[in-house]
Amino acid sequence: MTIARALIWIVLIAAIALGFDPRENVERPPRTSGPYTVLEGDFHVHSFPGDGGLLPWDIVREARRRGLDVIALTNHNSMWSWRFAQRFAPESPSGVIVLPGVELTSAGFHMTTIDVRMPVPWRQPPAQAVAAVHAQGGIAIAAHPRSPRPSKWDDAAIDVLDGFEAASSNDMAAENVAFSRRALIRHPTIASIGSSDFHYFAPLGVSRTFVFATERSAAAVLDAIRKGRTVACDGLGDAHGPAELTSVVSADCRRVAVSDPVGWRRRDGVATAAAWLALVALVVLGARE
Amino acid sequence: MTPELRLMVAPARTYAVLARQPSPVGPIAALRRPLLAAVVIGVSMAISATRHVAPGLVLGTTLAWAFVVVLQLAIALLLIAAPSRRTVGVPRALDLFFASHAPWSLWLLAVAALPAPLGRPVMPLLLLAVVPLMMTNRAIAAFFREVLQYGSRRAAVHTAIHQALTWGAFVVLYGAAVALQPRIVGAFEAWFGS
Repeated sequence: MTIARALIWIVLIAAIALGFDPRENVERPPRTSGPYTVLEGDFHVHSFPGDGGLLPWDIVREARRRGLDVIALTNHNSMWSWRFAQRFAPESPSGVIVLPGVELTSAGFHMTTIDVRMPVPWRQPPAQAVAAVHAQGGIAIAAHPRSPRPSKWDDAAIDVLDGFEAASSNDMAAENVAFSRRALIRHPTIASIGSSDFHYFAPLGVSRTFVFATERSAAAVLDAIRKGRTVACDGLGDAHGPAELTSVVSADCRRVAVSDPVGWRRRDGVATAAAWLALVALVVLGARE
Repeated sequence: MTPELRLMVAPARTYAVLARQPSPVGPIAALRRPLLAAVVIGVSMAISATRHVAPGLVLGTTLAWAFVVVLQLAIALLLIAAPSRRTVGVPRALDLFFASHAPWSLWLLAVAALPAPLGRPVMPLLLLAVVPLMMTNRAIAAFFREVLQYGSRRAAVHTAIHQALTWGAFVVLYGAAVALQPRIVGAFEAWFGS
């Protein structure tokens, strides 16, 4: 049994080592459409420390694997994770643009706030919260607007929002139709956002946003959202947004729904299965008595 | 059957046997089971969140989430180090206590193996946690009776204290992470009107 345990530990370590990929930081060529650079973003991501499973720098690596160009770290009413990342890994290792954010978690509405310096108070109506975010120069996006219920999203708030999640991994686009209609009637240039609301379960970017930016920079991404040049892509391959932009990325949206991560190798699957099986065996075998 | 499996099936009998058998476990060796628990959490988190493993990723998730095991160690030590007629030293008691972690370890690995819950609520996965919860409570009560030689009533009280401390810490930490206060206010407003 002792030899068996030692062998299983070796298998576990070897499997984890097998998962190493030296090509992690390969740059992707920029994709353009007319005057725009088309970037793929996930603007609702939870990370550790907080209620996300991965450290911020591991989120960034995962974003690159998932073909994302830009992410926002948006923990609930907190920027600890962002500050943690700034303290220990201020440079994005793979060229992914990382934006500071907060998921403003209030009674009756959640709102992803991006490019803010600090969380805005949650004890205020949504329209006031949007104004507080704008006062910091940030962007306000209605997060999974179907929940929590009853919703406090009123017309005054919708009028001033920069965007709304037309698709998230919790609320698929079809479930958001009523809010989408209402938002687009009141505010035709509001940005359609797709977000994964990533916590512990893959994949990051399963719902994502195609951003038509004038260049590959944080400022250009934020400007594109403010001007509504975005398409929300749900995890099922459907794109939602302005018709002229949706037609450009609809094929990519379908691709994202079915494709493996960038650089996925068969040996990654073997390594993951071997590591999982080795751990099950170690738990079942237990320690030597 | 291995001790971990026997503990899941018949915890009292298994702990009685394990507590009697000579097994010199020092402070370092006492960390073998907690270490495995930390690796299980780290690898499960990596697989669940990314569907793959890699050295940097697993190291990061294991170190980041090791605080859960450290917290469990601290709570266990608090209860184990209290005066009792324990049949083994504190390190061995700690080692035996962590043998009851197997149900939670297997649950974590099972959840990590399930496909991503796209568009589906995560709650059914979490409800599966009832199984390890029940098994662990049974095992911990058996641990207090057979290893620390507590009477049934005292063992039940200590099991309750252990669970209260563990889940209390969980509610405080996870509650802070998910902004529990506004959610509670929202729930009250929904029930009673704002």
